[in-house]
Amino acid sequence: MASSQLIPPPDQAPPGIAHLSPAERVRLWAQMVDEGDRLVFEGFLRRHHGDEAAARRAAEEWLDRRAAESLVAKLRMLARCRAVENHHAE
Amino acid sequence: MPSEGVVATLRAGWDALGRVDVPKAVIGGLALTAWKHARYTRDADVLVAIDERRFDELLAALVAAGFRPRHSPALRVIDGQAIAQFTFQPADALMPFQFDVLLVASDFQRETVQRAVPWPLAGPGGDVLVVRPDDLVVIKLQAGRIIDRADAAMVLRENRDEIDFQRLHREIVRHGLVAEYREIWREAFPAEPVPRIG
Repeated sequence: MASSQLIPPPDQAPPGIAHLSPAERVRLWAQMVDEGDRLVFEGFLRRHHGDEAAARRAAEEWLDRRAAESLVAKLRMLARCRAVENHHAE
Repeated sequence: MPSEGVVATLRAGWDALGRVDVPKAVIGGLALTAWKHARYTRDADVLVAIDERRFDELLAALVAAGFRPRHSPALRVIDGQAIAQFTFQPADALMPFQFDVLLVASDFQRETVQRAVPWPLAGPGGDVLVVRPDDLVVIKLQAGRIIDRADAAMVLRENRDEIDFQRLHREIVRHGLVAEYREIWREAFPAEPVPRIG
């Protein structure tokens, strides 16, 4: 695989956060999540012509889909780990 | 004023789990952020070293703190792997958050929890523990999605001085992740040759 298909190369990467204190990093993450959620929810509101109840239902369905996807990834991670150790134990 | 709901969720979940005396460590978005890769992820995940037979203690503590299990029964056990997903609605957050509890399923994960390091999180409960960057790279490569591999590459790039490469390379080989590791190394350090491991 050619390089830089997953993340930007170092010279084109956005600024790092190594200079931030632990508390500042956490605050940055929380603010990114809040801002992202706001954009997601506004997208659902636009799609449903301002109907907040419909937007909330759409958001709940979106969260359900994400939960199902993350369940698969996490189970895969746990299963791979255990399979390796079972293999080594044999 | 932002709600910082993801932090409130993690804080409440960590504190609730603290009522049951078990080793545990954060592996979700906070771990990425701690290791210098902040992105939009709502994942509040905790790896818990507890016997499955004691899960009801965790469940009771989380429910008492306002967490709602996504499934019934709460603990999903598939091929011997156990995970429980909860939702939590912080007071002023726009949408509920998910809080996942993963039960340790291997010696590597048990070590990962033992090696976790303190990380300050707002709230009266004090520090939480987050997994170390070398262990986070292995976990991300095991999860295997494109976004997980990208996370692993960023954690590798941003934490060169903190990573225990001896342990990382040993676990990469042991878990059969050499090809994936070579890929993220090329992404993290495109000007450098890939280390010879395995």
